[in-house]
Amino acid sequence: MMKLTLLIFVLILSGCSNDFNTICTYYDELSKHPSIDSLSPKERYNLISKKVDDLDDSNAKAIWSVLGTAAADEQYEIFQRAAVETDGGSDWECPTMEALMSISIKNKTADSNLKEELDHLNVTTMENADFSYRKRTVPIL
Amino acid sequence: MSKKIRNNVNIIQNTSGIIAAIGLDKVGRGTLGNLITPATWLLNYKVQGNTPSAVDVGIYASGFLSAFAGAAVSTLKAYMDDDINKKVYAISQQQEPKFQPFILPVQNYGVNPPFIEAITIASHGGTTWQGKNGQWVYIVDAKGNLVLDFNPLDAVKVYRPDFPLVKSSDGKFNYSSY
Repeated sequence: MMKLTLLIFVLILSGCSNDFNTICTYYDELSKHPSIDSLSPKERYNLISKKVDDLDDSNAKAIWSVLGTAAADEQYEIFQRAAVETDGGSDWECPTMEALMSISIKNKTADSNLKEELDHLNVTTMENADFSYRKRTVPIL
Repeated sequence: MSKKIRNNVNIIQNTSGIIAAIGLDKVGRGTLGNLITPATWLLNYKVQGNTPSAVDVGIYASGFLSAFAGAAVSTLKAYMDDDINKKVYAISQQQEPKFQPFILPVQNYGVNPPFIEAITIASHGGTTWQGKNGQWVYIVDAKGNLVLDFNPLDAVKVYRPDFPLVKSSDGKFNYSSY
Protein backbone atom coordinates (compact mmCIF):
# COMPACT_ATOMS: atom_id res chain seq x y z
CA MET A 1 0.00 0.00 0.00
CA MET A 2 2.80 2.39 0.89
CA LYS A 3 4.41 1.80 -2.49
CA LEU A 4 1.15 2.46 -4.25
CA THR A 5 0.58 5.66 -2.30
CA LEU A 6 4.09 6.83 -3.14
CA LEU A 7 3.50 5.96 -6.78
CA ILE A 8 0.42 8.15 -6.85
CA PHE A 9 2.24 11.13 -5.37
CA VAL A 10 5.17 10.64 -7.74
CA LEU A 11 2.80 10.53 -10.70
CA ILE A 12 1.06 13.69 -9.52
CA LEU A 13 4.34 15.52 -8.91
CA SER A 14 5.85 14.48 -12.20
CA GLY A 15 2.69 15.59 -13.96
CA CYS A 16 2.94 19.06 -12.42
CA SER A 17 6.58 19.37 -13.43
CA ASN A 18 5.85 18.32 -17.00
CA ASP A 19 3.25 21.03 -17.46
CA PHE A 20 5.78 23.73 -16.64
CA ASN A 21 8.15 22.14 -19.13
CA THR A 22 5.37 21.82 -21.67
CA ILE A 23 4.64 25.53 -21.53
CA CYS A 24 8.37 26.15 -21.90
CA THR A 25 8.33 24.13 -25.12
CA TYR A 26 5.50 26.34 -26.38
CA TYR A 27 7.88 29.27 -26.11
CA ASP A 28 10.58 27.30 -27.90
CA GLU A 29 8.11 26.72 -30.71
CA LEU A 30 7.08 30.36 -30.67
CA SER A 31 10.69 31.47 -31.05
CA LYS A 32 10.82 29.50 -34.31
CA HIS A 33 7.63 31.00 -35.66
CA PRO A 34 8.37 32.37 -39.15
CA SER A 35 6.65 35.66 -38.32
CA ILE A 36 7.90 36.00 -34.79
CA ASP A 37 9.24 39.52 -35.37
CA SER A 38 5.99 40.77 -36.83
CA LEU A 39 3.72 39.27 -34.18
CA SER A 40 2.37 41.78 -31.70
CA PRO A 41 2.77 41.07 -27.99
CA LYS A 42 -0.93 40.25 -27.78
CA GLU A 43 -0.69 37.83 -30.70
CA ARG A 44 2.26 36.08 -29.08
CA TYR A 45 0.42 35.81 -25.80
CA ASN A 46 -2.70 34.49 -27.47
CA LEU A 47 -0.73 31.83 -29.35
CA ILE A 48 0.65 30.50 -26.09
CA SER A 49 -2.65 30.83 -24.24
CA LYS A 50 -4.55 28.80 -26.80
CA LYS A 51 -2.19 25.90 -26.22
CA VAL A 52 -2.24 26.28 -22.44
CA ASP A 53 -6.03 26.28 -22.48
CA ASP A 54 -5.92 22.79 -23.98
CA LEU A 55 -3.86 21.42 -21.09
CA ASP A 56 -5.50 19.57 -18.24
CA ASP A 57 -5.79 21.45 -14.96
CA SER A 58 -2.41 21.68 -13.26
CA ASN A 59 -0.30 23.99 -11.15
CA ALA A 60 1.34 25.33 -14.30
CA LYS A 61 -2.02 26.13 -15.84
CA ALA A 62 -3.19 27.71 -12.58
CA ILE A 63 -0.26 30.12 -12.40
CA TRP A 64 -0.50 30.87 -16.11
CA SER A 65 -4.13 31.89 -15.67
CA VAL A 66 -3.13 34.72 -13.32
CA LEU A 67 0.13 35.68 -14.98
CA GLY A 68 -1.29 37.98 -17.63
CA THR A 69 -1.90 40.85 -15.22
CA ALA A 70 1.44 40.59 -13.41
CA ALA A 71 3.96 43.35 -14.01
CA ALA A 72 5.69 42.55 -17.29
CA ASP A 73 9.15 42.37 -15.77
CA GLU A 74 7.97 39.96 -13.07
CA GLN A 75 6.10 37.41 -15.13
CA TYR A 76 8.99 35.04 -15.77
CA GLU A 77 10.16 35.27 -12.16
CA ILE A 78 6.67 34.38 -10.92
CA PHE A 79 6.30 31.45 -13.32
CA GLN A 80 9.77 30.18 -12.49
CA ARG A 81 9.17 30.42 -8.77
CA ALA A 82 5.90 28.53 -9.11
CA ALA A 83 7.74 25.83 -11.06
CA VAL A 84 10.51 25.57 -8.50
CA GLU A 85 8.17 25.46 -5.51
CA THR A 86 5.86 22.97 -7.14
CA ASP A 87 8.71 20.79 -8.29
CA GLY A 88 10.11 20.32 -4.83
CA GLY A 89 12.74 23.02 -4.80
CA SER A 90 14.79 21.92 -7.77
CA ASP A 91 16.14 24.40 -10.29
CA TRP A 92 13.88 25.23 -13.17
CA GLU A 93 14.55 27.60 -16.00
CA CYS A 94 13.39 28.32 -19.52
CA PRO A 95 15.64 30.83 -21.31
CA THR A 96 13.32 31.19 -24.31
CA MET A 97 10.41 31.98 -22.06
CA GLU A 98 12.51 34.48 -20.14
CA ALA A 99 13.39 36.20 -23.39
CA LEU A 100 9.87 36.32 -24.79
CA MET A 101 7.51 36.35 -21.82
CA SER A 102 8.12 39.90 -20.65
CA ILE A 103 6.67 41.23 -23.87
CA SER A 104 3.95 38.63 -24.23
CA ILE A 105 1.43 40.41 -22.06
CA LYS A 106 -2.23 41.05 -22.45
CA ASN A 107 -3.56 44.42 -23.41
CA LYS A 108 -5.03 45.86 -20.27
CA THR A 109 -7.95 48.16 -20.02
CA ALA A 110 -8.58 50.63 -17.25
CA ASP A 111 -12.11 50.71 -15.98
CA SER A 112 -13.27 54.10 -14.81
CA ASN A 113 -16.06 52.53 -12.76
CA LEU A 114 -13.79 50.02 -11.07
CA LYS A 115 -14.21 51.36 -7.55
CA GLU A 116 -17.96 50.89 -7.83
CA GLU A 117 -17.40 47.31 -8.89
CA LEU A 118 -15.25 46.40 -5.90
CA ASP A 119 -18.20 45.47 -3.73
CA HIS A 120 -19.31 42.95 -6.30
CA LEU A 121 -15.81 41.49 -6.44
CA ASN A 122 -15.53 41.03 -2.65
CA VAL A 123 -12.67 43.48 -2.61
CA THR A 124 -12.25 46.59 -0.49
CA THR A 125 -9.76 49.29 0.37
CA MET A 126 -8.17 50.15 3.71
CA GLU A 127 -10.34 53.25 3.77
CA ASN A 128 -13.55 51.25 3.48
CA ALA A 129 -12.54 48.00 5.18
CA ASP A 130 -14.31 46.95 8.36
CA PHE A 131 -11.77 45.75 10.91
CA SER A 132 -14.12 45.76 13.87
CA TYR A 133 -13.75 42.73 16.07
CA ARG A 134 -15.79 39.85 14.84
CA LYS A 135 -16.47 36.30 15.61
CA ARG A 136 -14.18 34.38 13.31
CA THR A 137 -16.22 33.24 10.35
CA VAL A 138 -13.36 32.20 8.10
CA PRO A 139 -11.79 29.06 9.54
CA ILE A 140 -8.04 28.72 9.55
CA LEU A 141 -7.38 25.42 7.84
CA MET B 1 -17.93 22.09 4.56
CA SER B 2 -20.47 21.39 1.86
CA LYS B 3 -19.13 24.41 -0.02
CA LYS B 4 -15.62 23.01 0.24
CA ILE B 5 -16.81 19.74 -1.17
CA ARG B 6 -18.58 21.53 -3.99
CA ASN B 7 -15.47 23.57 -4.70
CA ASN B 8 -13.34 20.47 -4.89
CA VAL B 9 -15.52 18.10 -6.75
CA ASN B 10 -13.04 18.06 -9.61
CA ILE B 11 -10.17 17.14 -7.31
CA ILE B 12 -12.18 14.42 -5.68
CA GLN B 13 -13.35 13.09 -9.00
CA ASN B 14 -9.89 13.31 -10.52
CA THR B 15 -8.35 11.51 -7.59
CA SER B 16 -10.95 8.81 -7.75
CA GLY B 17 -10.41 8.59 -11.48
CA ILE B 18 -6.68 8.09 -11.06
CA ILE B 19 -7.22 5.39 -8.49
CA ALA B 20 -9.79 3.63 -10.64
CA ALA B 21 -7.59 3.93 -13.72
CA ILE B 22 -4.73 2.08 -12.10
CA GLY B 23 -6.95 -0.54 -10.56
CA LEU B 24 -6.84 0.45 -6.92
CA ASP B 25 -10.54 0.87 -6.45
CA LYS B 26 -10.64 -2.19 -4.23
CA VAL B 27 -8.12 -0.94 -1.73
CA GLY B 28 -8.43 1.32 1.22
CA ARG B 29 -12.13 1.68 1.57
CA GLY B 30 -12.01 0.23 5.04
CA THR B 31 -14.38 1.62 7.61
CA LEU B 32 -11.58 2.31 10.05
CA GLY B 33 -9.80 4.68 7.67
CA ASN B 34 -12.97 6.56 6.97
CA LEU B 35 -13.63 6.94 10.66
CA ILE B 36 -10.14 7.96 11.70
CA THR B 37 -10.03 10.90 9.32
CA PRO B 38 -13.21 12.60 10.56
CA ALA B 39 -12.05 11.87 14.10
CA THR B 40 -8.95 13.95 13.39
CA TRP B 41 -11.13 16.72 12.04
CA LEU B 42 -13.19 16.58 15.22
CA LEU B 43 -10.04 16.86 17.31
CA ASN B 44 -8.89 19.86 15.29
CA TYR B 45 -12.28 21.47 15.64
CA LYS B 46 -12.36 20.92 19.38
CA VAL B 47 -8.85 22.19 19.96
CA GLN B 48 -8.52 24.94 17.43
CA GLY B 49 -11.99 25.69 16.14
CA ASN B 50 -10.88 24.49 12.74
CA THR B 51 -13.09 22.90 10.15
CA PRO B 52 -11.67 20.46 7.65
CA SER B 53 -9.80 21.96 4.76
CA ALA B 54 -10.28 21.17 1.11
CA VAL B 55 -7.36 18.76 1.27
CA ASP B 56 -8.93 16.96 4.23
CA VAL B 57 -12.19 16.68 2.38
CA GLY B 58 -10.45 15.48 -0.75
CA ILE B 59 -8.57 12.77 1.11
CA TYR B 60 -11.67 11.63 2.91
CA ALA B 61 -14.14 11.85 0.06
CA SER B 62 -11.90 10.01 -2.36
CA GLY B 63 -11.78 7.25 0.23
CA PHE B 64 -8.84 5.50 -1.32
CA LEU B 65 -6.42 5.51 1.56
CA SER B 66 -6.24 2.51 3.81
CA ALA B 67 -6.82 2.80 7.52
CA PHE B 68 -3.15 3.08 8.34
CA ALA B 69 -2.28 5.37 5.44
CA GLY B 70 -5.32 7.47 6.19
CA ALA B 71 -4.37 7.80 9.81
CA ALA B 72 -0.78 8.66 8.92
CA VAL B 73 -1.77 11.29 6.40
CA SER B 74 -4.36 12.75 8.75
CA THR B 75 -1.86 12.95 11.55
CA LEU B 76 0.69 14.56 9.27
CA LYS B 77 -1.95 16.98 8.01
CA ALA B 78 -2.89 17.91 11.57
CA TYR B 79 0.78 18.54 12.33
CA MET B 80 1.14 20.70 9.24
CA ASP B 81 -2.02 22.65 10.06
CA ASP B 82 -0.64 23.34 13.51
CA ASP B 83 2.69 24.42 12.05
CA ILE B 84 0.96 26.77 9.58
CA ASN B 85 -1.22 28.26 12.30
CA LYS B 86 1.85 28.96 14.43
CA LYS B 87 3.56 30.68 11.53
CA VAL B 88 0.48 32.74 10.71
CA TYR B 89 0.25 33.75 14.35
CA ALA B 90 3.89 34.86 14.31
CA ILE B 91 3.32 36.95 11.17
CA SER B 92 0.13 38.48 12.52
CA GLN B 93 1.97 39.57 15.67
CA GLN B 94 4.08 41.86 13.48
CA GLN B 95 0.98 43.81 12.43
CA GLU B 96 -1.17 46.28 14.33
CA PRO B 97 -3.41 44.47 16.85
CA LYS B 98 -6.65 45.43 15.12
CA PHE B 99 -5.54 43.65 11.94
CA GLN B 100 -4.28 40.47 13.56
CA PRO B 101 -7.57 38.48 13.58
CA PHE B 102 -8.02 39.12 9.88
CA ILE B 103 -4.75 37.65 8.65
CA LEU B 104 -5.15 34.21 7.11
CA PRO B 105 -2.91 31.59 5.52
CA VAL B 106 -3.16 31.43 1.73
CA GLN B 107 -3.98 27.76 2.14
CA ASN B 108 -7.43 29.00 3.15
CA TYR B 109 -7.98 30.51 -0.27
CA GLY B 110 -7.64 27.43 -2.44
CA VAL B 111 -5.97 24.10 -2.99
CA ASN B 112 -3.04 25.16 -5.17
CA PRO B 113 0.48 25.40 -3.69
CA PRO B 114 0.93 28.47 -1.43
CA PHE B 115 2.87 30.65 -3.85
CA ILE B 116 0.32 30.07 -6.61
CA GLU B 117 -2.50 30.89 -4.22
CA ALA B 118 -0.67 34.06 -3.17
CA ILE B 119 -0.38 35.22 -6.76
CA THR B 120 -4.01 34.29 -7.37
CA ILE B 121 -5.08 36.42 -4.41
CA ALA B 122 -3.15 39.44 -5.73
CA SER B 123 -4.75 39.04 -9.16
CA HIS B 124 -8.16 38.89 -7.49
CA GLY B 125 -7.53 42.19 -5.72
CA GLY B 126 -6.00 41.20 -2.40
CA THR B 127 -2.81 41.97 -0.56
CA THR B 128 -0.68 38.91 0.11
CA TRP B 129 2.73 38.67 1.67
CA GLN B 130 5.37 36.23 2.81
CA GLY B 131 6.60 36.39 6.36
CA LYS B 132 10.16 35.77 7.42
CA ASN B 133 9.17 32.24 8.42
CA GLY B 134 8.24 31.49 4.79
CA GLN B 135 4.49 31.39 5.24
CA TRP B 136 2.29 33.28 2.74
CA VAL B 137 -0.70 35.09 4.21
CA TYR B 138 -3.41 37.52 3.13
CA ILE B 139 -5.85 39.83 4.83
CA VAL B 140 -9.60 40.19 4.67
CA ASP B 141 -11.92 42.56 6.48
CA ALA B 142 -14.76 41.55 8.78
CA LYS B 143 -16.99 40.94 5.79
CA GLY B 144 -14.47 38.62 4.19
CA ASN B 145 -13.46 41.10 1.49
CA LEU B 146 -9.91 41.05 0.15
CA VAL B 147 -8.08 44.26 1.04
CA LEU B 148 -6.37 45.95 -1.90
CA ASP B 149 -3.93 48.29 -0.26
CA PHE B 150 -2.81 46.86 3.06
CA ASN B 151 0.79 47.65 4.01
CA PRO B 152 2.14 44.67 5.93
CA LEU B 153 5.04 45.16 8.28
CA ASP B 154 8.11 42.95 8.30
CA ALA B 155 7.29 41.15 5.06
CA VAL B 156 9.81 39.40 2.85
CA LYS B 157 7.74 40.01 -0.27
CA VAL B 158 4.36 41.61 -0.93
CA TYR B 159 2.08 41.21 -3.94
CA ARG B 160 -0.91 43.48 -4.38
CA PRO B 161 -2.85 45.33 -7.10
CA ASP B 162 -1.29 48.33 -8.80
CA PHE B 163 -2.68 51.82 -8.41
CA PRO B 164 -4.48 53.29 -10.19
CA LEU B 165 -6.50 50.11 -10.31
CA VAL B 166 -6.56 48.40 -13.67
CA LYS B 167 -8.61 45.36 -14.49
CA SER B 168 -8.07 43.10 -17.47
CA SER B 169 -10.85 41.90 -19.71
CA ASP B 170 -11.03 38.63 -17.79
CA GLY B 171 -11.65 40.41 -14.50
CA LYS B 172 -8.19 40.17 -12.95
CA PHE B 173 -6.26 43.09 -11.50
CA ASN B 174 -2.84 44.29 -12.54
CA TYR B 175 -0.47 43.52 -9.69
CA SER B 176 3.17 43.85 -8.75
CA SER B 177 5.51 42.89 -5.99
CA TYR B 178 6.65 45.39 -3.38
